[in-house]
Amino acid sequence: MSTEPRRLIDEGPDDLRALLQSAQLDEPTEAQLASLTSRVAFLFPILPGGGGGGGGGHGGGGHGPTAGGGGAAAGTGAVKAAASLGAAKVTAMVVAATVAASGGYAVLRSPPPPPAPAVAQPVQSPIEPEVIAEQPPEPEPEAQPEPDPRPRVLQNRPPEPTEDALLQQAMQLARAGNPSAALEQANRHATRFPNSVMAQEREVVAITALVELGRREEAQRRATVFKMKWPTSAHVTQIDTLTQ
Amino acid sequence: MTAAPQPRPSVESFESFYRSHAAFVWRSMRRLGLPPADLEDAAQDVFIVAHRKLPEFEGRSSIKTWVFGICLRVASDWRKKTTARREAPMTEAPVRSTSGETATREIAMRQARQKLAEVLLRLDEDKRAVFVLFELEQLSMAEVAESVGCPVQTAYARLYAARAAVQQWLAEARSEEVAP
Repeated sequence: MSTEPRRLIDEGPDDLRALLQSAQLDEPTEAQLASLTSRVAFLFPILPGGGGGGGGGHGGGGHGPTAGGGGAAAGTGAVKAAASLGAAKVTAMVVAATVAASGGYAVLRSPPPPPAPAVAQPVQSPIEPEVIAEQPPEPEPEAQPEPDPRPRVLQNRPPEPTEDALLQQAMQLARAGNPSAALEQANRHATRFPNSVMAQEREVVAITALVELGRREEAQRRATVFKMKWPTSAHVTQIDTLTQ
Repeated sequence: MTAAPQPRPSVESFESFYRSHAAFVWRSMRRLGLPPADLEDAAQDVFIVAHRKLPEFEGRSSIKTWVFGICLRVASDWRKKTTARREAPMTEAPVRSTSGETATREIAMRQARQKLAEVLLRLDEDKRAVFVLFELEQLSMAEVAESVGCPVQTAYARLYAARAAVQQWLAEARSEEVAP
C-alpha cells in the first residue's frame, strides 16, 4: 500500500512545473566542480586510518579516474600510505593552483581566495617572515622620523596565504620529504588559525611530521592534546597508529 | 560471506566518495538556500565534516541521506552566519547562448530558477528540506524522512504544508502579474 504522492514536476500546474524544472540549473559546472575539488583534495591523502579495517589494505588498483601513483605504502602507518597514494593528486592540485598545469588531475584550478604568489613557494625555503610578523614597529632609539619605522621586510612582504593554502603547503612539504618545513607550516597555521575548521587535519600533519623527525615525545604530547580536544575524531585511530 | 546491509564506504575511498557526491552536495546546498557565491565554501565544509564523520557511518541509512543530513546542518549554520552579513543576492552567471531562441529559453529558465530560489527561501527549514528532497531530488518519502530525521508521517505533513505554501505564493504571483 504505497501512498507515495505524485510529484509536482509530473503533474503540477504548468508554471509550477517550469519552476521545478529550472532546478536543473543547480548542477555545478565542470569548472565549479574542479574548483571545489581543488579545495577538498587536501583531504584525500589524510584519510582516517580507522574504520575498522586495519592498516594494511591499501590496494593499489582502481582508485577512480585520477588514481595517482604508487599503491604499496608500508612505512610508518596509515598517513604515510595515504599520503603516498594521494601525493600525485595533491601535488597536481597545488601546482595547478599556481601554475595551471600538471598531469593526472585535469580539472583543477586555483581556489578563489588564495592570493597567487603565496602558494607558489612551497618546496624550498619555508618561511622566515614568521619572526618578522612578531616584531613590533620598534623605532631606533635615535628619533628618525621620516625613514620607514617598520621593519624592512614587512614592507614588501607577500600577502599571507589563506588557511587552505597554508595547510596545502604543509602537506606538500610533508610529501616532498621535508617534515621540518611541513611542521613549521603546520605550526604557522596553528598560530594564525587556531580555531580553523581544518585544525584536526593540521594536527595530523604536524604529528606525522614530528614522528618522521624522530621527535616522538612531542608527537605523543600533541597526540594527547588532540585526543583531549577531539576524542571522537575519525583521525584518532590514525594518530594512535602513528604514535605507537 | 558477510552480508553487509550497506556498502559502508571505507576511509580509503574518500576520493571516490567525494566524486560520487560532489554534484549532489553542490545542488543540495543551492536548494537549501545558499547563494551561488557561497556554494563552494559551504560544499567544502560539508566534505570536511563528512570526512571526519565517515568512519562513524554505520550504513543504517543510505549514504545519500546521510550526506544530506550533513548538508542540512551546514546550510543551516551557514545561513545563520551569513544573514547578518548580507541579504543573499542570487546573481547567476550571464547567459552564454548564441542563438536567439536558445538564449530566450535560457533566460526564461534562469528567471524561473530565480523565482524558485525565492520560493524555497520562504519555506521554513524543515519544510524546505522535505520539499527539496521529494520534489527535486525525487527521493522516496521513507528516504526523505530518514534524511531529515523525522517520522514518515511528519515528513508527509511537511511536504503537504510546503506544497500548499508554494502553490499559494505562485497564485499570488500570478495575480500580481495580471493586475499590475
